[in-house]
Amino acid sequence: MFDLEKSIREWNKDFRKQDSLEDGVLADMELLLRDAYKDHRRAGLDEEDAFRAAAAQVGPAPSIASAYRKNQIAVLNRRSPFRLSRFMPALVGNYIKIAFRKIRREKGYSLINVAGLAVGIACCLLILSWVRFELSYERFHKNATEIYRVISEFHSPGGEINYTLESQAPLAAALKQNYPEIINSARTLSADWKIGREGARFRESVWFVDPAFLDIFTFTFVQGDPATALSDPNSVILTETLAKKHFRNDNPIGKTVIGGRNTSLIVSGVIKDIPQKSHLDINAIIPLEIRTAGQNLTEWGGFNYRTYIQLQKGSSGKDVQQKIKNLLEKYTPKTQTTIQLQPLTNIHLFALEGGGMITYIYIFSAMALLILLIACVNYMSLSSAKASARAKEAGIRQVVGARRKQLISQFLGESFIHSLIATIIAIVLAQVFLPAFQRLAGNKFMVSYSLGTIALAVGIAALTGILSGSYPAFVLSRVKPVKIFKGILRSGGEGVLFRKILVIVQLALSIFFIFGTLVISKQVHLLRNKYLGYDKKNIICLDTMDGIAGNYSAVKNKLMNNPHIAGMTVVDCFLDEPNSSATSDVISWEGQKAGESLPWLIVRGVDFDFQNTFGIEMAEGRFFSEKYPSDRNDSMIVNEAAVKAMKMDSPIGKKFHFWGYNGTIIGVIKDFHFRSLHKNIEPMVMKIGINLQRIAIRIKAEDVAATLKFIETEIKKIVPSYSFEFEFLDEKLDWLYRAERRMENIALSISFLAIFLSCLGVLGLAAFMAKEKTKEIGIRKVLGASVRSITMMFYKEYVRWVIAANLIACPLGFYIVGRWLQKFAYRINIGILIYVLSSALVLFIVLLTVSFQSVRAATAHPIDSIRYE
Amino acid sequence: MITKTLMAASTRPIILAILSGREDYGYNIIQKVKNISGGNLEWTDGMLYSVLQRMEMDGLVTSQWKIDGESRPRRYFEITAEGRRVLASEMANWKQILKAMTLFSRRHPAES
Repeated sequence: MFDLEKSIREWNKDFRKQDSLEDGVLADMELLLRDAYKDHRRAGLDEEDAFRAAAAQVGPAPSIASAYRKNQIAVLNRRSPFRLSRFMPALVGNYIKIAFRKIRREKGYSLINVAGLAVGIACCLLILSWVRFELSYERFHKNATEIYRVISEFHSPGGEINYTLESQAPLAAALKQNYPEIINSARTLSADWKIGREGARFRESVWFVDPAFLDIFTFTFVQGDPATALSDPNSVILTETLAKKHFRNDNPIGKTVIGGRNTSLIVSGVIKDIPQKSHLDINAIIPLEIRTAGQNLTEWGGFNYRTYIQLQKGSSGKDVQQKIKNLLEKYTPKTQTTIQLQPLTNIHLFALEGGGMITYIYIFSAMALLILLIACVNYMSLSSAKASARAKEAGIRQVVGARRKQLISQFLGESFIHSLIATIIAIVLAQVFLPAFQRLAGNKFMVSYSLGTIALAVGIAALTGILSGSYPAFVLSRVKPVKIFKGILRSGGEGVLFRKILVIVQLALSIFFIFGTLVISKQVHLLRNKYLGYDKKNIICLDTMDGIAGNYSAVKNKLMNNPHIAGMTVVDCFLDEPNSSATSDVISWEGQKAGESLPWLIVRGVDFDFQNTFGIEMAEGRFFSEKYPSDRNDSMIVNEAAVKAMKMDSPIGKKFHFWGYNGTIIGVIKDFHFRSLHKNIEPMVMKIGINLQRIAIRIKAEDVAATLKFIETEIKKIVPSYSFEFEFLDEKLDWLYRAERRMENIALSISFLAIFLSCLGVLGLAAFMAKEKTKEIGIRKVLGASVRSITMMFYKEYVRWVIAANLIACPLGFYIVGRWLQKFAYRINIGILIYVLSSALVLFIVLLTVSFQSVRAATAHPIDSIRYE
Repeated sequence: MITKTLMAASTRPIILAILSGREDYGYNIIQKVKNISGGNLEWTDGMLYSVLQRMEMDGLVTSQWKIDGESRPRRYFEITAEGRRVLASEMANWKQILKAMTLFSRRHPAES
């Protein structure tokens, strides 16, 4: 009787003998056999024949085994039998565990590492957020990239160029008419104007504009229609804040406000307040017509208006600039003035004469990166110092099969975890120090947690992780395990030179920062304290003569009765403000030779008391005097710079002509500074009565408060409506150097940070060196070395490093700081002393830092030291 | 008789074409291959089965054990995306060859 199962078992035996057939295949074969058997049975064969036919159909075991062997060999050839998988998720957990274990075991080192990185990253985060803020100025205008401001350039025969933001009245229309690329143009005038409801008027920043101004710039109208808001000459658009100030919650549209002397204006629109990030400091917008009524606006003489244009989408500013550059020649053939376009988005960043905010952005970005670099260097030098301890771990990992790539990713991963922890701490630190940094930077930017900032923080963390972890990762992974176990790498061998270089770079940067800070401080001190040619202290500035103009003599007589008031005068503008100026085509003088010209002349309107009030000396001749009636119209005074520029031998009595005025030079006033010390003293002419609108009062230093009260009371007695707002001239002048003062503050903070971070690194390294030399110190002590000699041994090492750091810092410092000083017409002599001082300061701080560790090592008991390990 | 060489070249695309419709188990696939070749095949079922294993190693098919109504589990094969890609390219190649052969058969009718 045929037994199927028994036959199959027998049949299976043949197959089981074949090495290449695994259990799964055997099961497959048996299934094939059974299926074939069933088919043959269905076809009518008896059990035994069906089995035989099925077995033949499946085939003989050896040939099937051979086919399977071929398959296996093909696959084995394709892939190495010992190939490790590229990614072993099981090990990631181990890496993280090891990283945290390291942090826990070596709290001191980890603290130095993470704290250093956190401070560096926080600093970087704050500075880069500030940079982002500064770079985003004006971007809120829809057409920001198509808007340009027109700049006038005055060229002197000597090649000098003077710039002004103002251009002529007909220019805006001429630009639009002549160039199809210019789709909009608008003139503007801005002024501090008294505006508000009757009886409650305040000085506000008011812009008088052509209607196209609203098409060029983007303002959000809360009320009113931008298309018609400026169509009536007596209309006014208020910002939300100004509207609220005067109308609270009432609807201001259609209401009347009074501006200037007594101009009634109807509110036609309310716009949202202009964002802080704009050069448009606007509280109210009024049609330009109100200021230009009755003026001849077709004349090309005066440069009075700021002109903005909007280009067609896709037009290149550079191409248009090239085309319009010499447009003025068409209308004023003899002109030496050309026009330039300044992109709206550059206004905040680039000063016309070069430099500007962008310089500070570059400087501070570089500083941020350097600080981060110092923090990374700390990490690298400490990690490489610890390399000997980690080397064994790296060796074991290599022996059990870790590839180089795996080791690199493990160590990089570790430093990334460190930097990630540091970044989280840094974000907290950045928030804590934000108000202080805002004060330093002088504006209210925010560290906003937008996607961009998060990307920035993660980016910084990743960069820091890679930077700081790269050395240990690449060096440790390269070392042969056999070297490690033989003890060749014991003392951190290869890393010594590298660590020295890192510390030297760090110290060099610290010296450089301190040197830079000292130079900046000295320069700022010079700017603030240089004698300007007059005594700038105790001069009170009143910005307006509103109401006083008609009663000036009465007010002056009253005030001068007070013995604490030493002088009073009216001027066109204060010494910190841009003056009116004349260009070569409207200047001539007696004895002027062909080819001689004065490209640029500052015009200063004064009254008879100017010299006395400011205390400026005369170089020649006399000042204006009421004793000579002709002084009022025909006399002029020039400064020494003007005499020099005109090459006059004896200027007194010579005729002089500028704008439309003809007169005689009656005196030469000694050069005094009337602009910031970034610039040299320029040629200047003074004339009585031009555009007088500001009051300066010199008071005595005693009892200032009472004097101020007296001035206010007396003025109000005569002009009750006068709003008494004053400033001291020296404070106003200080404002000119705010950028430098800000830089001084930031440089000071950054230097402090740099030296702090460097000291952290030095401290860590000193601790490590002391530990490494424990045995050596013990033996030295047993052999009779004193505490002093052992401490000196440490000191010597660091003194050598500081000397080496000087080799980098000295040329770098003198070059960079020297270049910064170039932009000042009046600058300090750097001198070697400042440099020596900064270098000595760094040396002192470093030795102080090392002292603790070295003295501790030197005073330890030799027995403990020798027993160590 | 289809030679071993020709069979070796055509088995893979034939199996892929069979599996492109739906998944199937080993014995069924092998019978379909045999039917397509008109029974003129020198290969045994076991040898053909090794082709399926090789195709799985190459990622053209995947397999899993399933019990469908019977007590014994069967290994079901399913075509992969890579398998479909290879099938498309093989089909194109074979069509090209068929075109050439058709052309030749018209020129040499006696030999066809």
